[in-house]
Formats: sequence, structure tokens, C-alpha cells
Amino acid sequence: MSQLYRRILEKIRGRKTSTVVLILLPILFFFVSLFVGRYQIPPSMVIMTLISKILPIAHSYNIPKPIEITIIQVRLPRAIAAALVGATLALSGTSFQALFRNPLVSSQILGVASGAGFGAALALLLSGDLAVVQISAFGFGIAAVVMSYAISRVHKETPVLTLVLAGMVVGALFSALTSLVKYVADPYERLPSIVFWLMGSLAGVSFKELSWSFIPMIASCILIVMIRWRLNVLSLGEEEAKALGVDIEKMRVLVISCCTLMTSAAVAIAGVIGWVGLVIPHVCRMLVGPDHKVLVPASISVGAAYILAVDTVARVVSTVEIPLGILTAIIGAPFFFYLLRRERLGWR
Amino acid sequence: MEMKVVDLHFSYPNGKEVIKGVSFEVKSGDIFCILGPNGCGKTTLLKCLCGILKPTKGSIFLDNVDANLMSKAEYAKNVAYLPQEHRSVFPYRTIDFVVMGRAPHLGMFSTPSDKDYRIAEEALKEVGAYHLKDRLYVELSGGEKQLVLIARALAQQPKILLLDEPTSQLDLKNQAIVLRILSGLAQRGLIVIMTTHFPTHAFLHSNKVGLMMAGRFLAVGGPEQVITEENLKKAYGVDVKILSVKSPIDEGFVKMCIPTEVILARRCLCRFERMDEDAGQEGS
Repeated sequence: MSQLYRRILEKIRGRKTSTVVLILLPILFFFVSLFVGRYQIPPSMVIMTLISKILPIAHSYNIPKPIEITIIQVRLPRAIAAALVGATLALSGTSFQALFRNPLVSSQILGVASGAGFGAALALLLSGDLAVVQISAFGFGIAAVVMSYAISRVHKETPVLTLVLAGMVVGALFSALTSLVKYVADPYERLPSIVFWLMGSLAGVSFKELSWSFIPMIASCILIVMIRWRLNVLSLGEEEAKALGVDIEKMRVLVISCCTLMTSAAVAIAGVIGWVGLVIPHVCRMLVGPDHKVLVPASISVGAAYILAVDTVARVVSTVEIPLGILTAIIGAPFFFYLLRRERLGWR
Repeated sequence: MEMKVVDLHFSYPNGKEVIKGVSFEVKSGDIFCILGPNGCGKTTLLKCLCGILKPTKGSIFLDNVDANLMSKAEYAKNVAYLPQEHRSVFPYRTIDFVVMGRAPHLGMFSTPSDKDYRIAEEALKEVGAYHLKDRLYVELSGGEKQLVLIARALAQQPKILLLDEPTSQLDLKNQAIVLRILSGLAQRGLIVIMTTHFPTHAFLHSNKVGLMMAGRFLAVGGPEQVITEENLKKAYGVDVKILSVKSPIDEGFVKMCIPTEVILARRCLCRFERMDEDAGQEGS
């Protein structure tokens, strides 16, 4: 009995601090992003508003309509979207780094962001309707990855190097097409909206967008979490994974599909947000080590917390919102440099 | 356990045939050494045997069951493979690395349980590397890495162990350790199939040798019959002397191979040294 107790204690102690921090971090930032904003609402009022939505008894408290709208229809969907986008971008970065055995790839290695960017730009040029833009971005993001995968498939196999090169080719192609769309777009009406969309922002996210995009995001997340230990085996390399009885082609299709689905959905609602899928996996590897059994949940948690924090800053810091993609790059690039300078980078 | 390989062929997609009809049979307790010059197809043969490459023709039978009828995971439960070297990207802890050998025993959606970690620890103990458990695999020395790789293969709980030149990058002591471990495993009933560049090792601890040349076995059988001066000359194209030396620790004899060209080269070297000495004396 005492032995069992000691073993349990050891287990908790080993990862106690990091586990607690990793669970609390996104929750903390979630509430911070609900509490702060240009329209000042005291935290107690925010809590009341939230409770009044869940429990009918709280109706007796009189909550002003503008506050309710700000919290429920503006800040809440935006915070949920930020958490989802951060979690999925970081998770797909982690998965791709394991799959491609390269710590320098990110979620955009197969051209998903370029494809989605082109889809959005095209839709903004032709229609401008938000729903059309999102669906077009989602569709073209997936199409870009399918293209990369299809052209790299030789002899019923997809060598990793060919896949990466194909991703670069497809990415370059869609970037060029995006430039073409920008070139022909009306510079006073359409062009600014295209440019802003490509910078990435969560402004204006509502439950309507979340209602469709959270399904591919959550489903893919769950699937990757379930197969997370297999990512360890995949990261040993193609041949060794095969010798360990892993159906590598099947696993690769599964991981790529999940990552593409969730990244496309994330890009569709938030635009192109760089650096998250590259930096967050490294940060997590420093925190919990390279074992994907722990690394995958950690990436979800840190990614969500990161975008929640950055989006809050983007909203609050100046009177005009700073595009999210610009902020993540401004924070991400120097931070990645700092990581590179540190001796223990979590890979070598 | 018995492994039977019948008329195995393999060609790369570009049409180049590398394995041109290999057949052999091994059973529990065998240590089967595959010798042969560089590029004769030893590594390719091992990769065909472990399922990394799919043979273009021919069959592999495990206990008379055709390997083609087994799932990949089921096959990997029987056959483990050790690559010549493992290049890791992420610095896994040794124990996490060894536990990956449990992959064929675990479902796609499961993570290793306490039992799997115990099996991995047992495997580390068996190769005498338990003390490395919490070290990072990438920071281990070459000899330690080889031991940990063997432990990972053992965690797979296979009946057949395939090793690609397990001793070629090790120092004298680690070579001895690895060969001793392999002998122990064979005594326990495993089949060990390994490629090597040292005919002397084949004499020392194998009971079956296949001499490969250009994708075929020149000869298969006991080490005494296969490793002969003519066969080695045929396979490697160099003159080799096989010496029988009285064993220093028991009554038997130990056989070893010495390429005569090396002796000749040594002689040239001596002559040069002598000339140097002469020149030195003249100077003083």
C-alpha cells in the first residue's frame, strides 16, 4: 500500500509543476482576454454575465445590454477562436516536425497557408462575402496540400524530401497567384481587404464562423492526441518505423490530413498567422522534453495560451488593432533567435 | 521458430536487381552470419527480411506461415531489425527510445503502459545498459548506442533478430560485449541473423555462414565449409590465409583470417622504415 502511494507520489512529483502550469496557463489567458478590452468592464461583471448565460438564477442581476453583447458576442467567440487557432497551429507544427524529422518545418510546410491565402484573396476579389471567403480559404488550403502530396507520390510511396520540395513548389505557385489577384484587384476597395486578410486577424470572429470551423479543428486535435505516441515512432525515420511494424504510408496520410484540416480551418477564420507552428513546438520541447506523449498536449496548451495572450495585446495595446500575424512574427522571430542561441534547444 | 527464405529476389524501382535469388533456412538458436564484399546486397537482403523493402519475387516463411499473409505489426512481433546506425533528430531519453520497440504490440491509439516500460527496462538490463535509462540517447557513446539499439529490438520481444553490421563501428571491448550478448540471445532460443565484415567473428560465434557475392549466396553452411581460402578469394578477390590457432583458454582451436596483401603491405612499410634509419645514421 505504501509502495503504491510512493509510486503515485513520484509520478505526480515528476511532472507536477509543468502539468499544473500547462493546464492553468490557457485558462488564465482565456479569462484575461475576456476581462480586458477597450470597453472597460469590471471582471466581476464579466463573471456575472457568463454565469447568467449558464445558470438561469443569475437573471435577477441586472446586466446592461451593451456589456452582455460585448462579452457574449464579441469577446467570448474571439477568445475561443484564439485558443482554437493557437492550439491547432502549434499542434500541427509539432506533428509535422515529427513526421518530417525536421525541427525547422512548421504547419505551413506543405503550402496550406499559401493555398488558403490565395483562396481567400480570390473570394475577396470576386465576392467579398465573409462566408464565401472562409469556405474558399478552407478549400484551397486543403487543395494545396493534396496537390503537394499528389505530385510527390512516386511508385506508391511519398519520399519525405520530395514531399517537402513539392510543398515549396505548390506554396510558391499559390503565392504567385495571390500576387496576381492583388495586382488585378481594385486598389481602393478590394486590395486593402485582401492585404488585411493576409496579415491575419481575429477581429470580427463570431459564433457563426466557429460553429462550422470548430468541428474539423476539434476532431483533428482529438485524433492527433490519440495517435501521439506513434509520432515518436514516426520520428525515428521511415525505415525504422517500418521495421517496427508501423504502416508508415497510412500514418502519414492520417497525420497530414488532420494537420491540413485543422490548419485550413484556422487560417480560414484567422488569416495567415506565421511563426506559431514553428516556435511553440520548440518552447514545449524545452518545457517537457521531446516525448510526444507529453509534448502533444503541451503544444495544444501553450499554443492556445500564446495566441490568447498575443490577441489580447493586439486588441488592447493601441486604438487601432494590430494584425495578429504581424505581432506573432515580431514576437516569434527574435524569440526563435534566442532559442537558437541557447545551448539546449531540445534537438540536435 | 524456423525461418525459411525461398528464392528471394529484389529490384529497385529503377529496375536494378540487387538480390538475385537467395534461399536459406535458419532455426531457433542459430547465429547466421552473412559475409560479402561492399555492395553485394547484404543490407538490402536484411531490409527485405525485416519488411522495410518488399521482395519482388520469392517468399519468406516463419514456421511455415507465409510472411505475406501476416500484418506488418504481426510480422514485427516476430522479427526485429537493427540498422547500421540510428540518426536521431529529437533527444529522447534512453528509456523512451527503448520503449518504442513496443510499437508492434500496441494499438494505434494506445500509449505504452507501465508494463511496456517494465519490459523496456528488462531489455536494458539484459544488455547491461540499465544505468543509461535516464540519459539522452543522442549523448551516448557509439558502444552504448549499439547496446541501447539491441535493447530496443529486445523490447520488441522478437524471435528473430536482424542486425546490420552490429560490430563495425565498435572498439575491441564493445565488439566483445555485443558478440557475447548475441551468443547469449541465441542460447535463449532466438535466431540471430547478422551481416559482418569480419570472417573471424563468423568463426568465433556463428554456427551458420552465408557468403554473398553480387546478390547471390556463393555458399551457405557451417563456417568451416563456407569460409575457405578459395571462397574468400572468389568473393573478395584478395588472397586470404586462414590460420588455426590453439585456443588460449580451452582445448579447441580458433580460426582466423588474415589477408596476405596486408602482410605484404606491412613488409613494404618495414623496408621504408629501414631505409629511414639508414638515412638517419648517415646524417649523424
